[in-house]
Amino acid sequence: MTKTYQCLVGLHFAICTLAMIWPGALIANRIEPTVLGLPFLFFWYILWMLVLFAGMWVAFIVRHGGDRHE
Amino acid sequence: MSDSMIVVGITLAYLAMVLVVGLRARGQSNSSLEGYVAGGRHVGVMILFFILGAEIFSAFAFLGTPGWAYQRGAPAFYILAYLSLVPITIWVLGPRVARLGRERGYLTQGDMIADHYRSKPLGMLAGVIGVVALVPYLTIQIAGAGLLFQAATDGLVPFWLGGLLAFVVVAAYVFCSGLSGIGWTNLVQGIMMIFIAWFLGLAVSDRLYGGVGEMFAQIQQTAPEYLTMPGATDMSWGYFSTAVLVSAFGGAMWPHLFMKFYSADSGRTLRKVSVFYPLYAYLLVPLLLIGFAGILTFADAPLVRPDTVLLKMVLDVANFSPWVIGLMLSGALAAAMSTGANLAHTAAIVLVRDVLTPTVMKGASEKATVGATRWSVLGLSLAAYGLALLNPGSLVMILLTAYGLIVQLFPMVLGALFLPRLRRASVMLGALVGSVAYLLMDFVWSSPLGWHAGVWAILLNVLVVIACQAFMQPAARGPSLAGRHH
Repeated sequence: MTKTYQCLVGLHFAICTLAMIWPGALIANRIEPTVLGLPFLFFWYILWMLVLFAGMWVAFIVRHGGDRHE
Repeated sequence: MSDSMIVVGITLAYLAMVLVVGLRARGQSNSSLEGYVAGGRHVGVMILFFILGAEIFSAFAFLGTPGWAYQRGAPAFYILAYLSLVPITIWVLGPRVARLGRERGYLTQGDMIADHYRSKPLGMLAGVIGVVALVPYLTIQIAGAGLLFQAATDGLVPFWLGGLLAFVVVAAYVFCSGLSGIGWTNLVQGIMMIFIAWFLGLAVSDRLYGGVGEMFAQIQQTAPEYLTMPGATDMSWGYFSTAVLVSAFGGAMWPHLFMKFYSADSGRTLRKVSVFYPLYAYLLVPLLLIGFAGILTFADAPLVRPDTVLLKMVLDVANFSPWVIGLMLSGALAAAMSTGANLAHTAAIVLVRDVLTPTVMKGASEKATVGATRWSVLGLSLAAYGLALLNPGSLVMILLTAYGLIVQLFPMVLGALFLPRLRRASVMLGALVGSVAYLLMDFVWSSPLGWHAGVWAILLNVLVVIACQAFMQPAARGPSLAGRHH
C-alpha cells in the first residue's frame, strides 16, 4: 500500500510538472481554441493548477483522511 | 478633499488595521524562543496557508507579474507554473522537517545542518548566506512600498516616508508578537490581496475592452506573438523550463520558507496546506490579465519600466476613482508588507541563532536570546530601510546571487532529511563546486544551452556529491545522530 501510494503520488507530481514545462506544454502552445475567453496556453496552466490540486486532495484523503494526529 | 488625500486616508486606515491585528495577536507563548520563532510549533492549517502564500507572494510578484505579461507575453506563465509547483516540495519535505524539528529542537536550517553533519561552522555558513540573501530581499520590499506610496498619492507621500510608514508598522508587530503577529496579519493581507487583485483584473479588462474574451481577441488580431511561447522576447523552452524547476524546487531552501515547516502543529497540517496551495497561485491570474491589457494600451509608447504597468493602468488609463486607487495601494502594500514581515523575522532569527549564538552569545539564556532576536528585527529592518534610501542598483544582483547560493544547500538538506549515509565532506565539496560554478556562469561565462544557470550548478553539485560518496574513504566516525533515528 505505502509503496504503491508513494509511486502514484510521485507519478502525479511528475506528470503535473512535465505538463507545465517542456515537453508537456508544447502540445498546448496555441491560441485556439479559446476557453473562457482565454487563449489555450493560458487556460492550460489554469487547468493543470486545478489537476495538481485535485490529485493532491485525493492523495491527502487516502493517507490522512481519518486520523487527526498523523 | 483632494483625490490624493482620499488615497492616503484609505491607506492609513488599512495600515492602522494591520497594526491592530498584529499587536493583538500577541499570544502567551511569546516570551519563549519557540513561541516567538515558531508559534510554539502549534500553527494550524489556515494561518500556515496564508503565511506560506504571503512569503512567495511579494511586491515583486504583485508588480513583476503584470510586468512580465506586458513585456513578454506567454513567458509570464512561468510564474504561474512555478508557484503552483511549490507545494510539491512542501508535501515531500515538510512533514519530515517538522518532525525532526520537534524531536530535536531545531528552529533554523543551520540548526539541522550543524547537528546532522556535526559541524558548527557549516551551520554558521548557512546562516551567513541566509542573512546576506534576506536583507536585500527585505530592502526590495521596503523600496517597493515607498515607490507605490509615492506613485499612488501623486507625490503627496514621498518615497522615504512611504517606505518608513509601511515598515514601522511591520517592525512593530513583528517585534511585539513574533510569528503569531505575522500569521494573523498575513491572513488579513492575503484575503485583501485576493479580493483586490481579482477586482482590478476584471475591472481593467472590462473597462478598456469590454471583457476578458474581447481583450484577448483584440490581442490575437494585432499582436498574436504575445499569446504563445516563445512570446514577444523569444524566451526559449529550455530557459523557461529550467527556470520553473529551479524556482519551484529550489525555492523551499529559502530560510523564511523552510523554517515555517518547524512551526506546523503536525505533518498532516503541512500536507493539507500543500493541497490548497495551488489555489493561492490563482491570485496571479487577474494580475496577468492587467499585464496583457497593457500590451495594446501602450503599443505606441512602450513603458520604460515594464513593472510599472499595473500602476500606469490603474492610475492613468482606467480612470478609477480615488477610492479604488486607495484599495489598489493597500493591496500592493499588503503584498510587500506580508512578505517583508516574514523576511525581517527570519533574518533576525538566523542572525541570532546561527551566527551570534555560537560566537559572541555563547551560553546566553533563552530570555536573552528572545530579546536579541526582537532587537535584531528592528536593527535589520532599519539597515534594510537605509539600503532602500541609498537605492543601490546592484541590489537585485546581490539577491539573485545569494539565491543561487541558497539553492546549493539542496543536497545538504536532502541528505540530512532522507539520506543519512551522505557524508559531511561530500556535501560540503558539492555545495562549494555548485556555488563556484553558479557564480562563474552568472558573471563570467554564459550558461550552456541557454538554460538557467541554477540547474547546471545543482547538477554539478549532485555529481560531485555522488563522486565523493563513491570514491572517498568514509571518515572514521559513528553514524550521524539523525541516522540513528531512522
